[in-house]
Amino acid sequence: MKRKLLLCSLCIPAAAAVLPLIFLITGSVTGNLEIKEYLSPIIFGGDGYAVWRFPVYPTFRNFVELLLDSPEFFQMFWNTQKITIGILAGQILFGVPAAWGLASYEFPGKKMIYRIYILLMMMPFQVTMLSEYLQLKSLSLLDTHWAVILPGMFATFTPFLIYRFFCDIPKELLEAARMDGAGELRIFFSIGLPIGSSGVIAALLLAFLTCQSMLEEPLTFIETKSRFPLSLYLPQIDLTQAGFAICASFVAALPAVILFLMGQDYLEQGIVAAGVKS
Amino acid sequence: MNKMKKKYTGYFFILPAFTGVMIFYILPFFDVIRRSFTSVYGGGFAGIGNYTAVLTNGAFLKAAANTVRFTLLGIPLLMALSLLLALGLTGIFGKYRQAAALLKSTFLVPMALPAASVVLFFRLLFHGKGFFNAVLSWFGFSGADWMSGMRALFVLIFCYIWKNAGYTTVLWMAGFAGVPESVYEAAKVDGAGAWNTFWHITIPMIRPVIFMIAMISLLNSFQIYREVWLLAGNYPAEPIYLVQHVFHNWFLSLSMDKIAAGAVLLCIFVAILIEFLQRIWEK
Amino acid sequence: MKENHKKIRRMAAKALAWFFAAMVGLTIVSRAAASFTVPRVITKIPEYQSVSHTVYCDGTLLAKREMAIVAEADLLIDTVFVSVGQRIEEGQTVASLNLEDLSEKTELLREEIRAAEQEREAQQTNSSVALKRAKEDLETASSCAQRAVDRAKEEAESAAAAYQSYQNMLGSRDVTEEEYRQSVALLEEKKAKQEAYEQAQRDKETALRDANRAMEDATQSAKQSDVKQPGAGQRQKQLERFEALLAAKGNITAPTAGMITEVIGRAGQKTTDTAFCMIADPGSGLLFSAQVSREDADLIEIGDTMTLTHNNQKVEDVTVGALKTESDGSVTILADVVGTDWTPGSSAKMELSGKPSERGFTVPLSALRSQDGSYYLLVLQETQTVLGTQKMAVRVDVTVQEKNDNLALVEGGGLSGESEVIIDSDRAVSNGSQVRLWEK
Repeated sequence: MKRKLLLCSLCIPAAAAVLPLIFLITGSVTGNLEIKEYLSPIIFGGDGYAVWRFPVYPTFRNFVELLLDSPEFFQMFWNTQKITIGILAGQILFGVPAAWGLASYEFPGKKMIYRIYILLMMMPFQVTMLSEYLQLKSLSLLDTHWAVILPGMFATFTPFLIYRFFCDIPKELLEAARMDGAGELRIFFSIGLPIGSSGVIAALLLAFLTCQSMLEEPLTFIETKSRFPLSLYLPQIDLTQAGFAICASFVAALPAVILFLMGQDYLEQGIVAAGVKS
Repeated sequence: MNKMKKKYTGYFFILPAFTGVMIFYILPFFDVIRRSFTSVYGGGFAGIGNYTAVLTNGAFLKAAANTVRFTLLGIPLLMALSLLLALGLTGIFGKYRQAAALLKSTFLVPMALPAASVVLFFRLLFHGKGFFNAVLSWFGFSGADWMSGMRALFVLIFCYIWKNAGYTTVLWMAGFAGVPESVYEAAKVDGAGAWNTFWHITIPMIRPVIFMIAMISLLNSFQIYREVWLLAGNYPAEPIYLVQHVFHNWFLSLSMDKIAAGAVLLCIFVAILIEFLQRIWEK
Repeated sequence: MKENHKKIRRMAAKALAWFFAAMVGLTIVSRAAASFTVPRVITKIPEYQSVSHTVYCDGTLLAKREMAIVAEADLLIDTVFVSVGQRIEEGQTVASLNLEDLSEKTELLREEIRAAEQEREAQQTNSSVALKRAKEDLETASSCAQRAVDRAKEEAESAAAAYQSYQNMLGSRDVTEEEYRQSVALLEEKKAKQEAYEQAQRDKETALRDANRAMEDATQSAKQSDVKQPGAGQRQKQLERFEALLAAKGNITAPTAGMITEVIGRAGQKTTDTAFCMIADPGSGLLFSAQVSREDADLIEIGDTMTLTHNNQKVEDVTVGALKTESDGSVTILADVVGTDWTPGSSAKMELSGKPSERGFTVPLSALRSQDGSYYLLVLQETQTVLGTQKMAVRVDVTVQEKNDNLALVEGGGLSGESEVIIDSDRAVSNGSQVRLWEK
């Protein structure tokens, strides 16, 4: 009985959690006319409050408009994906080995590097925003996607997360492999990666989600409108095109949502590793 | 020979990444430190002029106060709420395993949704004629303008909790999972009640986890700027005008000297904060 | 549960792959759709020049000097050898008259002349006879009248003397009744005789006058019979012409070389007393004549130069000599054409450029658009959009200073030597619409 009550009461925050998603899904199939009707107090400033209902006349018109008639949406979409893939590639190339290095080896300065990584991880963007800006400017990378990708490649949160997973690998395993004559690289590729794969995936998944949502970096470093990612484009859509805006927001969220569904387990693992395993 | 090889292999793995970190984060930061001591006009040495400028800047002080206030309010609230959720989920886990898993999934959805996609909803929610006021009116309460005045702080905390509750709940649950069953068994045997068990056994056992949760929540509290900016732009209502806003506006007005000094100050502050908290917790 | 999750994961992975594939496809589709709807335009930079109005017209070339070839009237035409436009030499036969008819007419004429001559002679004789008579009459009248006068004078004098002597006889004594009556009778006699004398004088004058008049009349008529000669002279000339025509076998020849511009007489008809045909003397100069509408004429002034084209030859700098308004409102332009060997009667094309306006930015007429009575152009402007640098059509209001058939001289804020004005598009373009350049 108590459990049932608990269950029911937990449904409330659950509903609150998915409410925006439901809004996006239902809104995407709601015709413009209906939306304007529901939101007219907000859009046109009428009396009463805005309402929201499941569409009486569902339509895919918003999708048509978004997906067939708006090349600019795709421009923004691919900008976001480009940035995401760039950063993820960089993290795979650089971050994973870095985590492995930190986890498996001792070397002078390791402590300092480790502390630097933690420090950088905790800093809000604003601390490094000027320094990144100046550096990017001197490299003439401002107003390009590289301005966001390059710093993102070297962000320290993801390697840190992977590091936590790599830490769990027993050192004896590595020693045994060494004794068998395996080179360090071989150890990394055949032992470290396979065992820590779930951690790597988890970290990359989190990184992916972060990238899709990235806002401050593009806002600061990119100026040309045609290079904006979705996160800077969506807020610009006017409320009078509410249907379009909702649909765009929904499609923009789809990669993240799908990947979330795909990697939920990994995601949990990742979160756990961030906080718990130590 | 082998030992040396082993010593330096570490470098090999970390060097590329660390080089990048140096290039994009560390080295330029030294330049920023240098700049914080120079004047923006002409670049001559300006002593601590920039620092005093920042520390006496009304906007900055206000924003700093706001940020601290938000943090002090938000983080405990978040942790408490997510703790409850975690307890609840753990509680129903036994019988309604599938339901619990599903609920956990739904709790995590907010962290997956990109900020830009959800801000539209929040804008409609907290509009003067928005959904929230509509619901309030059902219960007889009159609506309010949530985006201005003290009420904006509520919106801020609401968004913060909404986004991070699931994440934090999972953390709590992971922490709980780390406590071996044997401990609970022993407590039961000792006749300890649920509350006592929880407060006096579980909590102390997962201290490090609590610390990490706090750290991560702190980290996420910096991130909330994203939602706020999307909702309210560069100059939101006063109570939610945060340090990030100040920096961004300085950037827009090219006040590089202030940013430099501010960045250094912020860096020092955060570093000290981390150290401080670490020390406290380890006590 | 793990199974469940695995299933979801697999489905989600598939969904993700499909999603991105779809996004790629849709990117292409939406771009293609956009490229269909985005109008393509051709632009032109306005040229800084002046606008002139060119009037094109077809006109005719006329000879300045046209002569008429006249033939004798009322003669039957046998053949006409020339046609309009034909160039002939001096002396060339233009037509031949019917010889029979000519001969007849000539004979007739001769007879007429003869008759007239005879009549004249008769008249002359008559009048000279009349003159002689009148002269005689005059003399007779004169002498008669003189005698009368003389006699009357004698009588008057004798009567006067008789009276005088009676009076003398009587002296200053008193008279008897008889004597009185006698003296009265003598006085009256004297008066009467005096009267008669004066009367005789008057009569003499009258008689002389009458006789003089008669004499004058006779002289006049004698003269007149001489004056009749001009008529005879004409006929004589005509006869000479007929005889000349006969001698020329009835051929009418051209007095000068030139080109026939009009043929009036026709074979089988009789000649008239008007021109038989018109011949133009090309050497006298050419005139170009064309008719233009009032509106076009407004643009033309005397002194403007034009270019004439004829037979693929061009002559430039032909000056407008005269503008004549016709009754129907159109205006005839006349210009002197020199230095060509063009023949009159043919047509030529005129190209006249009126005085050019001031220099300014000109755009082709196709670039000019209007709304509610005011004009505007659409100019290309680069804008930064989310799709990158794009071109947009921007409205620039202009005022039209001058306009002809192809160009318009415009003035407007924002026009410069770098403005790219949209002059054509494959689809309707309006202010603010996105466009792209036509690729060649």
